Amino acid sequence: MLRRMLSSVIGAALVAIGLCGVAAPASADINCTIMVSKTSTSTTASMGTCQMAQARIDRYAGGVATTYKGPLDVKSYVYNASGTNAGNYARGWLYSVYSAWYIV
Amino acid sequence: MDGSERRPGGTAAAVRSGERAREGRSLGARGAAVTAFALIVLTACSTDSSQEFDGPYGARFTEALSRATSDFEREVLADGNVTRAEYEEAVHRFTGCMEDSGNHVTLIDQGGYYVYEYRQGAGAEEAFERCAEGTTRLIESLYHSLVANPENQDWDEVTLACLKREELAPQGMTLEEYRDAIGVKGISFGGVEGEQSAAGSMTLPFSTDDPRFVACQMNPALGTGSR
Repeated sequence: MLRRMLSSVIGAALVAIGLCGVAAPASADINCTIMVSKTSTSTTASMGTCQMAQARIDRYAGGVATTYKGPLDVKSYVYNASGTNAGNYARGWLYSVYSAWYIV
Repeated sequence: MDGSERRPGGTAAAVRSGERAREGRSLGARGAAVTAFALIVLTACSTDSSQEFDGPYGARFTEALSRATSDFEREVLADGNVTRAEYEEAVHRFTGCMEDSGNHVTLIDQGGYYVYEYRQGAGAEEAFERCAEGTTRLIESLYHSLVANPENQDWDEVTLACLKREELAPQGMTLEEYRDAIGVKGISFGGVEGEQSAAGSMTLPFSTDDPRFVACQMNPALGTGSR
């Protein structure tokens, strides 16, 4: 039990560190809106008023946080059911500039 | 084209031409050289940006070509199509770049195109963005659209059609009902950066874990491939 809890805490910390790594991306303010939805195993992002969007889902398994990225397109969907869900994210793209990743 | 109307040949241009002739041969030769150089530059600069394409994704190809940052992208996009071989080459260049920077990327086929799996770590995200530039960034979006929505229809519409084809969504389900049921929410950037609308929740009359639902989301043109 204690081992499981410790594993989860370490996992969450790793995910947080990973997210910090992408929260300050080579992106700038873009003025548009994307449309998103999620399940426990997938993320969907549509361009809305941006030109494109990208969906991402992070999974945690065996002490490792792994990122899965869908295509950057007018609609992006990514599915993965390995391990446990470590977060659903999406970002927008307008005139060659990305937004930061946002939690869906 | 506007450019042809602005070419020398009108009255004012003839007058200017006559004045220049009186200024002597050396100035004339220099002027001719400058004009020739300007024409060459103008021609070279206008070739890519003025290229337009037909077909459902013509406008997207035109836009992508204007934003290409590598000769490879320009070559691939120049004919208004992305073949499987060109897409594979783009992905190969991208993953090669990632490997060179110490980040292994696993490619996962998701209905005829790839999604990328990689471990989070210092520099991985920066490498991903750098390596996508000039390789996959513009090419994969067009390839994805071409294989998953070849006629460039409304994505929700083709997805719902796929779900009906797979006999998962009720045949009478309308587009509005489907959109309401998938619980989409908005994320806004810019003026109110990151502001999110109220989160929706999925109220679809079937499980989102159903392989047919997943298949239609991955590639609505293909679905499970059995129907």
